[in-house]
Amino acid sequence: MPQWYVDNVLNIVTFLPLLGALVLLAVHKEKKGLIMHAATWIALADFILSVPLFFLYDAERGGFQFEQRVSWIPSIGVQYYIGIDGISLLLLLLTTFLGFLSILSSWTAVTERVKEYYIFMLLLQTGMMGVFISLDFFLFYIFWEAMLVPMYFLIGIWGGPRKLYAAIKFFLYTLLGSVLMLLGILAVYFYYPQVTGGGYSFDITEFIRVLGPLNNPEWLEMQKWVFLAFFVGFAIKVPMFPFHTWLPDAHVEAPTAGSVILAGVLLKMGTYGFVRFSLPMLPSATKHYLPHMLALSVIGILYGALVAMVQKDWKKLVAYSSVSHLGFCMLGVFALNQPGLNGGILQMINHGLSTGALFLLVGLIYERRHTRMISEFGGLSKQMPIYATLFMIITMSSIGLPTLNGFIGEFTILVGAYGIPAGYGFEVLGLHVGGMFWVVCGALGIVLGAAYMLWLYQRTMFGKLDNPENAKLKDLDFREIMTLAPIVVCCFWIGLYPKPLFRILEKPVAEIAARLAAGEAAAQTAEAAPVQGGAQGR
Amino acid sequence: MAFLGMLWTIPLFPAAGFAVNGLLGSRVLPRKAVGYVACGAVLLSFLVSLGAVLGLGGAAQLPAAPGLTVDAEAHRVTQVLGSWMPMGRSASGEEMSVDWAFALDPLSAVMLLVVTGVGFLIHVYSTGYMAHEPRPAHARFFAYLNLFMAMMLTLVLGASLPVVFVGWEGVGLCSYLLIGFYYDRMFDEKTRMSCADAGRKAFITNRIGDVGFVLGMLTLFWWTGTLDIQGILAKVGGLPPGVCTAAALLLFVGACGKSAQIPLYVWLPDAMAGPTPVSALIHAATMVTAGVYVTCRMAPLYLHAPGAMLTVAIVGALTALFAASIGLVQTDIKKVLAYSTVSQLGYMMLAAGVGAFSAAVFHLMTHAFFKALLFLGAGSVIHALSGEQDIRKMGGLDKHVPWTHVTFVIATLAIGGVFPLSGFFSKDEILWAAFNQSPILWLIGAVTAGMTAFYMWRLYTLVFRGEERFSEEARHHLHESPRSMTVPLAVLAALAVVGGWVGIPRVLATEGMADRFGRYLAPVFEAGGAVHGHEAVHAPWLEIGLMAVSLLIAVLSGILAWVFYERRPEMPAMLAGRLRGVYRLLAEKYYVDELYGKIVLAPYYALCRGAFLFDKWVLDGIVNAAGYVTLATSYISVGFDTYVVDGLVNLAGYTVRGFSWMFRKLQTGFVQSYATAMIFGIFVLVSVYLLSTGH
Amino acid sequence: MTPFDPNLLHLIAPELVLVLSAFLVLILSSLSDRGKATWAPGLSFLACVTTLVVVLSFVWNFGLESLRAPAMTVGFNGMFAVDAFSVFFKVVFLLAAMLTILVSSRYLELENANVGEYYALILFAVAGMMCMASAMDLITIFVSIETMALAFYILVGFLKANRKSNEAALKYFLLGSFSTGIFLYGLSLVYGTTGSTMLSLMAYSNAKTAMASPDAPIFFLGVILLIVGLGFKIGAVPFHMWIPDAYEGAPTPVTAFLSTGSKAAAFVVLARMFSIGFLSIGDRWATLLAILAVASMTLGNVAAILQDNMKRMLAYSSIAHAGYVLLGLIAVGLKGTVETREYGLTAVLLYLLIYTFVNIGAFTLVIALRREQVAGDRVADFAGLSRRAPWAAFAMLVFMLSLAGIPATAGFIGKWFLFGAAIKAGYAWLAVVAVINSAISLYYYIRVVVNMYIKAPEDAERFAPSWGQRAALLACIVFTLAFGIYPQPIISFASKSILSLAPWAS
Repeated sequence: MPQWYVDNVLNIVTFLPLLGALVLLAVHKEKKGLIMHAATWIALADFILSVPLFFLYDAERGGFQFEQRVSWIPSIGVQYYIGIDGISLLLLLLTTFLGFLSILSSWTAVTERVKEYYIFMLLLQTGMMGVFISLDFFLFYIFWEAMLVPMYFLIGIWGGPRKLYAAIKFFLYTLLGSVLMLLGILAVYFYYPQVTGGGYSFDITEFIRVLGPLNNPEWLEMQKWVFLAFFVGFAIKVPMFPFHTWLPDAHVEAPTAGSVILAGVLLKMGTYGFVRFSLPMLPSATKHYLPHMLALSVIGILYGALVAMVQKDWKKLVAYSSVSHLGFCMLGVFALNQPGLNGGILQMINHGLSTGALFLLVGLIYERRHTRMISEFGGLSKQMPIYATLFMIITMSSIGLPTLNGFIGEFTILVGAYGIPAGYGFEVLGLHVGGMFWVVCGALGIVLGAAYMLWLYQRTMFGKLDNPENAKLKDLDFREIMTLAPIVVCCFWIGLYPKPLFRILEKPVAEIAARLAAGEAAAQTAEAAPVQGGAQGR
Repeated sequence: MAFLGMLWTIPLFPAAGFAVNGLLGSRVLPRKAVGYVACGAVLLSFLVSLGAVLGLGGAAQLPAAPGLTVDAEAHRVTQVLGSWMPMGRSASGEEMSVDWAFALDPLSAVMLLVVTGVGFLIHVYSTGYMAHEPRPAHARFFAYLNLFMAMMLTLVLGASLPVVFVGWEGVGLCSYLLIGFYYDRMFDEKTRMSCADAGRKAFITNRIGDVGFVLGMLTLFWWTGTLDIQGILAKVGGLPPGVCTAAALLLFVGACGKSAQIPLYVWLPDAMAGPTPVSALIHAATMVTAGVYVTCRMAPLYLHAPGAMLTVAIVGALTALFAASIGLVQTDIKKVLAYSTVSQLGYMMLAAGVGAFSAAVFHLMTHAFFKALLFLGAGSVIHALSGEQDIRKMGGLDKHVPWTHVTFVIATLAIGGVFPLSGFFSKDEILWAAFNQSPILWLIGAVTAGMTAFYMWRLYTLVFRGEERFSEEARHHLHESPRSMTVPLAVLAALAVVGGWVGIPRVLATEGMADRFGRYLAPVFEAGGAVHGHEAVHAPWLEIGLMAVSLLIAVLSGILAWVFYERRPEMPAMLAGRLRGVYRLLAEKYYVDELYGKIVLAPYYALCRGAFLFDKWVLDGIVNAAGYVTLATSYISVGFDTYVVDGLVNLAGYTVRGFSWMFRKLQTGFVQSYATAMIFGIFVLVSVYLLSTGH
Repeated sequence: MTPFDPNLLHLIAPELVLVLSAFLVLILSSLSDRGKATWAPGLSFLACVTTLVVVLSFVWNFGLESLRAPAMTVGFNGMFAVDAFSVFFKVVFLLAAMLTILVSSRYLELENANVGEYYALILFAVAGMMCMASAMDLITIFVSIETMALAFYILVGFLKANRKSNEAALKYFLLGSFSTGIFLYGLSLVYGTTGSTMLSLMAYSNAKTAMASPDAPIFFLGVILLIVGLGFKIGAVPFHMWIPDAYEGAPTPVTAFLSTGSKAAAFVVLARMFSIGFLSIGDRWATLLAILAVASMTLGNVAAILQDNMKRMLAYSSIAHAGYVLLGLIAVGLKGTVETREYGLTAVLLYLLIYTFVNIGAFTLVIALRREQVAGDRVADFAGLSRRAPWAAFAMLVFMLSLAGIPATAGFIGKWFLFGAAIKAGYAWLAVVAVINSAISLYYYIRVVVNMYIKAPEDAERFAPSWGQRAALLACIVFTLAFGIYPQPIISFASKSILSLAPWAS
């Protein structure tokens, strides 16, 4: 590895797509083939360039690495400060990986306004990666919101019949969340100098170091408000129940690649936000609201699964399954112990892979039949054996069958959830709901998940091939297989040998967990949480 | 000895076979090659298992090879392949992680040989049975079958609960795929159930059990800090009894799912939608016994949870009786055998519940022999009658399919518990252990034994004796099955005869011969202090007496069946007419499926629909409502601006315009120029003002 | 009364330059035959450039920080100051004027009203604004406000042939004079109670005594009336009724100038008056402004949603933006820390500067869409622009996002500061209202984007802006993006400029 590369790897990986987009601007818009291939190669190159990070990152040392710090807007203390730890590393790789696959999957799916399409795809890539590498709150926020724009266009221009409604709903809903988060950021930003007596800063690591353990009543009170502000921003993105209603619309209307990115990466920003900011920076508030968070998580798990069961639209079903899976992630994250966090983060990756693949699969069918109504299908496995096989593998991965990635995530999460102190819960009608309750609900999700996925699989793949429309469907061609094969490989890899990922996550997760444990003293208020929670629960 | 180091290859061979057949089978490989690959893979793992099991005896002397640890007095060899899930530290700071590890001890040795042995025979049988399948389906079938073997072996060899769970879920998947093998066919016209439905039912029901299993695992994990089975069992002594009971019961829920115990047995009868070899391998001989296996595996845990033990025993006993009673009146050859399987599994659970773990495993083994044989025989019959499964449309087949007939008789005798066939010994050992626990359990067992004998002889008679009731064109195709199917039948028949001789009770044998099986397993169970059927009570004559009784019951009910269905064929109908209520109740399987439909499925679907409506109208409704409210305010405010405010302004405007209009008439030129002049003036004033202030 | 010192003229040098060149334009235009005044734009642009140079020469001579010592900056007995604060705004006004002039000529040709007076009037208006920026005394303030206003009355009604334009002018004039009356009344009351017209004098003693003395209510009434008068100029609800009609009726370039220049001018007076003169009663007017702010933001954004006419939509949006800017002043008013006040003022300056460029940029596209027989000011006229003119569409996209405050555009920086000021001043609820409003505003801004990028074009007519318009567009887009990504220069410019206005800091 040449040194210059190691020094600038994050910049290279993050801004290569942007560069590519600028280059594509120069190409004439009728040269569709050229644009298509160029975009694909750029994305592939970006992925290849990002892979070495996996090996260059020193998991033993942990912490933030590949850091770069340049003063940017000194007068308000903004820096261009980037760097990754194990958590953001995995998400970064997921982004480049899915980015490439989704672009590859668009070759035949997108035929008009090709130039703009690929430009927006590449811009989106840069935006999302920027979110994961930013260690400066200002920078983070810029990427966090700027990335909405290309996504808006992807849904709005290349979307389905109700694309305008879906697009604006997505944009407004998420924007509303993030502007409220902005206020939270401002509050922290103005409070920080009062603590240090120094100048303004947006340095996240500093915030965590200084404010995390800080233990004065004023801040403890303020934390709660900041937490809520962040919560709105992140929870809408995740999305957590009851803020999820933009998701089905956005997914159903978005083009395939859009859905893949949306489910695969965008949603992870919310969960990432919780892990990166809320937990280490606002430990006592996190504990204070823990019962509510856990409740929303498990409601998400069960609710998403229930609603998915009765969907008539293939894509909508997968969308609701995302709600359920993200509920799992949140349950793990809010277990606040190492297994939980590990599982939660791992499940982000797993969900990115399996749900991304599911959307790709739906897209492949949609391209052929131009409908997503489940009732239109049936018996496809006779007509498209390869498709059916891949679909089966992905289904199994998404319902958490051992030897596939889903199981690792769910099991680790449940292990963590089992460790949730019995205190965190509500008094409902006099009996204490909490502790065990959460893990049991999570475990129930396993059954419900299997229920709707297998029902979907059966209705589409099994049964008689009675619809003549389906009788002339073609099985996947090489390119299409290539869009799915890498994901399948990853699913098995994580399922059989997840150790490398656990190793990369070990240090960062341990640190976060330690901060939360250390916050114990600071969180006398939070210890009383169940009681207060109970008060609100009644 | 060398084989002990190759434990990990045992599941690997079938896995490889699965890969080969799955990838190449349907296109590249010729039909025969597919069969060879599949059988070859299983044969290999059978041989390796054999080698390993034989080597196990001398394991004590074996120097611990890398990754290989030996526990001499427990006769256990453990092979750690590597770390699987290092989940980080718990709050108390202990490392929570899971390894990929396999372990071989007498218990898993027995399972290993049964699974690979019977599995191999069934693979061979399948090459004949599935010979007429279209090509892709043919390859798919063997691929699935091999995958199943791989998973089953993982389950058996798994040294830690998650690894066991890998196999546990894996076999579930294969069962799902194989039950739904004819995914485009209808399975049960009456209930409009397709094969795919049956498969899904099996998977979901098992998943319900798995929730229990997972929660059980978690409980043990957090209380013992490990998921390694031996590690857990070593610590169960120190756990609070409540925890032991909870964990044991939770695991048992999982076992109920896999081993089709009340209340989760409902999937197994429908699992008959799969091809018959599948029923033989998965739903009779191997997979369904996984629950029993795990229960025995965790014996020490159960021994620390008497409450759980009792539950297991009762559930087992009830299941045995309940299923047997349904079996009495079924008319589908495979359904009869299916309910018989459920009933027999109940027997095994009963044994485990009363602490006679080795007896449970013993019956597990013998049952694997004769039940596999029965299914394969049934398959051979169905094959011969080109797909007919209704026993009312059979009869008098004995001369047409001699091999099948003979072997079927042997199997029937064996399951009927006739001395000295294998079934007799295993069943008797269970009954004896049950009697020592409580006579009631013994009674239930004995009655079940009677029913079993009855419905088996009924089945036999209806199929092989009496006049021929099958259709003309069925007769036209009628033929004995090919060698590839009859040979496995013969081998299994032999096993069904001699299989029980390794467990001859002490009262009937010399010290050397007696209860070899129990002694072989002793290191596993007695380590946990398990009671052992034959040492418990020293009352030889009582034991012999009970044997005689159960034997008598078996023979009598056998004769009864013979009388009913061969001598006086009109009697059953008459009886059914006499006890119409009871008959219907049994024929309709106690309406359990309907009940579940009412109390579980219907509410579930209602809940789903409700949730969706809530989502659509309430949650999304609020979001949209916010939008509408904004729009409404927009209309209001704009309206106010345009009509109220501007109204007034315009009014004033128009009046003034009126005047200015008159002015324009008088004056020439433009307003602008005047105004510009005005500004000029203003500037003069300003400058003057500024300058003048000076003075 | 110190004797008049001719050297003081250098203080009003820029204004003099501008006014003289305005007269030059006026005279030349009356000499040349009507409608052929192709030289006028060039000349007046040149005038602005020269003025700008003169203004900046102060900075170059003394340096921005040092432009605060009264001895050096204040003249005419403290009625007129050329401090950093005023310099900043003069720059803003001149830039706005230059952009306006750039985009005007083609439009006026189409409206065949291309005459010299137009440019002269713009220059007069700018002169008025510049005096407002420097005014330190109630009288100066009033006179300069009127100067600007009169120029605008005429400009708004400049399209004599156009009924809408005349109506708008009349309405603007009527309401304007009405508000002037109120403003004047306010002035007199304040003067009567404090006994001085000097902001600097009121600053410390007089205002306090006025509040103490029995006629405090009168004094406070005066302050309120002043707020009303200026509220009218910045177009804060409920003094906004003239805005939609005037903006819609006026020639679009005038609208652009009106929405940026005059608004900024009104704010400069507001800022100076209240942060110097009435600082001692800051907490009182802060609450008043808070009410205005909430009303303006909410009503402006909500009403804009329904507008199908770009000019009306941008009119309502400008009302909303006035509301945002008030947040900054509120932070000044509260008895907060010095830091908070400076932060608030900086936010105000920054935002007005940014808003000037972004808004004129947006209007430029509306202007550029004006063709023969096509008004080009309906939202629908933007349909499919991305297909017809990708770059113009992109520019409009940037401006809309910037107005909505999406990051990586200058608009975000401005909003960041304003919301930050509110939070810093402890007005969290106000900040919440503001951010929710900015989310709402996205809805109507994005409608334009939807038309440009998603709707199909209504006609394939080529989109060919004049060179002036191209130049203006380029300037605005570059400003919006460049300072959106690297705002350091403008931030430091603003934060330095306010120091002169901050008696608490000096």
